[in-house]
Amino acid sequence: MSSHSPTAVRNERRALLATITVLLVAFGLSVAIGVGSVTLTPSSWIAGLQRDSDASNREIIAAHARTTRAAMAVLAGFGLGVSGALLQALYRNPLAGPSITGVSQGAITAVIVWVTFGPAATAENGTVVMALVAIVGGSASGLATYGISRLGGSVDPMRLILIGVLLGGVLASATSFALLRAGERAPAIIRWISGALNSTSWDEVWIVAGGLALLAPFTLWCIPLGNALALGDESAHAIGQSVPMARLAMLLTACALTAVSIARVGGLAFVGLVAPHLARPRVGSDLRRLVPAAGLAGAGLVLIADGLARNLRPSTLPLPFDTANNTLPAGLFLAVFGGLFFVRTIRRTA
Amino acid sequence: MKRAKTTSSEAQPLEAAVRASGVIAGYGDTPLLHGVDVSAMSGRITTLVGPNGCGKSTMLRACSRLLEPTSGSVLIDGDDVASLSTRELAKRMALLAQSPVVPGHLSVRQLVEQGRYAHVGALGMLRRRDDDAIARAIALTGLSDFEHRDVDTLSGGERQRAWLALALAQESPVLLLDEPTNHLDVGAQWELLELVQQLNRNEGTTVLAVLHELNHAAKLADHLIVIDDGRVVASGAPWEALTVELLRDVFRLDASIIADPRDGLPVIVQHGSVSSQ
Repeated sequence: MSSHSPTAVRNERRALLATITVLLVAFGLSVAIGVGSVTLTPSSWIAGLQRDSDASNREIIAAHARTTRAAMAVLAGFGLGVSGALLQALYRNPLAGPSITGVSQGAITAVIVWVTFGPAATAENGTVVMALVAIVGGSASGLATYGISRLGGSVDPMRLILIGVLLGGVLASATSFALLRAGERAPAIIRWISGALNSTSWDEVWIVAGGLALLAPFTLWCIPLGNALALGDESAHAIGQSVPMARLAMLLTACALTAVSIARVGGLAFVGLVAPHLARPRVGSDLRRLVPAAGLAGAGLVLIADGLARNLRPSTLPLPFDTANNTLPAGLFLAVFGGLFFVRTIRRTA
Repeated sequence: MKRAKTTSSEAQPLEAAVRASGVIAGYGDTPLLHGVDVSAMSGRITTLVGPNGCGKSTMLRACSRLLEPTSGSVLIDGDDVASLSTRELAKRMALLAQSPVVPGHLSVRQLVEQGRYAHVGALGMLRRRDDDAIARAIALTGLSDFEHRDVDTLSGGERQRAWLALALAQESPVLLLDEPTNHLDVGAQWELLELVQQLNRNEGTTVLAVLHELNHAAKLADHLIVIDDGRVVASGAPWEALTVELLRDVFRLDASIIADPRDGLPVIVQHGSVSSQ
């Protein structure tokens, strides 16, 4: 029992880490809700949410708009972070993530094709339908990428990226074709692809929250599956895992998580790739800790990116084009940050 | 319960824990094994040796169902492994694979916990029994001081002991080892082999090991099986199975076999290749 004191130290460190994380998220949320054209204090926020008579109209609007927006940022970021953690365990590859493994592109393309050519070809397609379409598209594309990248037996990291690029190109051309046919809905679709969280409605928040809640039991089931699979196919088999079944369960769960997460907010690039990397050095690769930690990291990333998007007026940036009355989408900040992070990870891996 | 089982099989030492018969197996269309019979007696150490590409690892893969034989059968305690669920098989047989993947940022304890996969429910929650088995496996492999170290920071020998601890946490009466001493330095190789021997003697674990180094096999084995070109060419106690003629024909080795002055077990003194004779 000489290991008592190191265990105690580890538990203490873990508790500290958890506390810091929760405080950071709380701080991020209060900034996301409080800061903006109208400053909201906790009391004016609650008053605004309850549409109290002593709250101004601007406060009511700001309270609702920012709360739904922050909630959507947290939900989408959490879902993408968890999805990325599952995909990296499944692929045994630190470069895997929803954007690299075809899942995001598949979901996005499916939604755009549906919006443009679908039976109810109106921009008013509900978030539920969008989420289902995204799940089908993301799963099909995710399964295809996984299947192709495994053809030669094991998954070589560089081969996976090549396949991701290839599939991304094919899907991008399908997206472009759909956009050409989308007519007047094209700007709205383009805005969705670039990942913007503004004007999120409460209904949309509840739908995405409900979707993620439905996927929670599957995610919990995937945690031991992924921990076993991370040891290699042979060791996973040796400890009693039916490997093909575990792979399929993890892939489908990760695809559904990504699809539900992006059904409303569109392309939030690289969250699923970066979030597990931020979490892993702090909590380790055991998925029992990595999954929640990557979820929190993803939520934080999207919250910060959206905070920047909301508060950085493009007119204050030295951009070579007219940006009057425009805001930048959160996805843009994520793409820039994620892209740099991706390059760093490739340099370390290769 | 597992302990009781082991004790009862020790009372009948000639019982085969694993019996493979007429195994034809390979990759693609070309079979590497042409009808191999291998038995691992309960509570004993059986080693498989042979030149590279002879099919010894393929045989181990067939025994652990990593590879499906095109013909023949593998029985564990009388049950065909093909009829068991992967979970049930893992409770009866543990395998230390040849080059397992080591995930980064994973502690020894977290690795060893994976050995309980077949015993826990769908959510992987560890119960008291599981904790006991994990603690025991870590203690038996002498890794108590490393429990919270990340596996990828350990030396080769310590890392291999961590993988062995994972296999022990399965609490299965049969242990399969596929060239467990690969990539270890000489001292660490013997440490690992002695650990396996202790497990066999103290815990009654049945061991079926593929070994690369003949002197390791000769020291460790109760029963030694030599495979060449997908067929069993010799089988028996080390002194019976290993002969100068066999070493010349199968391994193209010019060698003498002497008795270790300490324990009387065979030691192969290698003079050179047959062609330099």
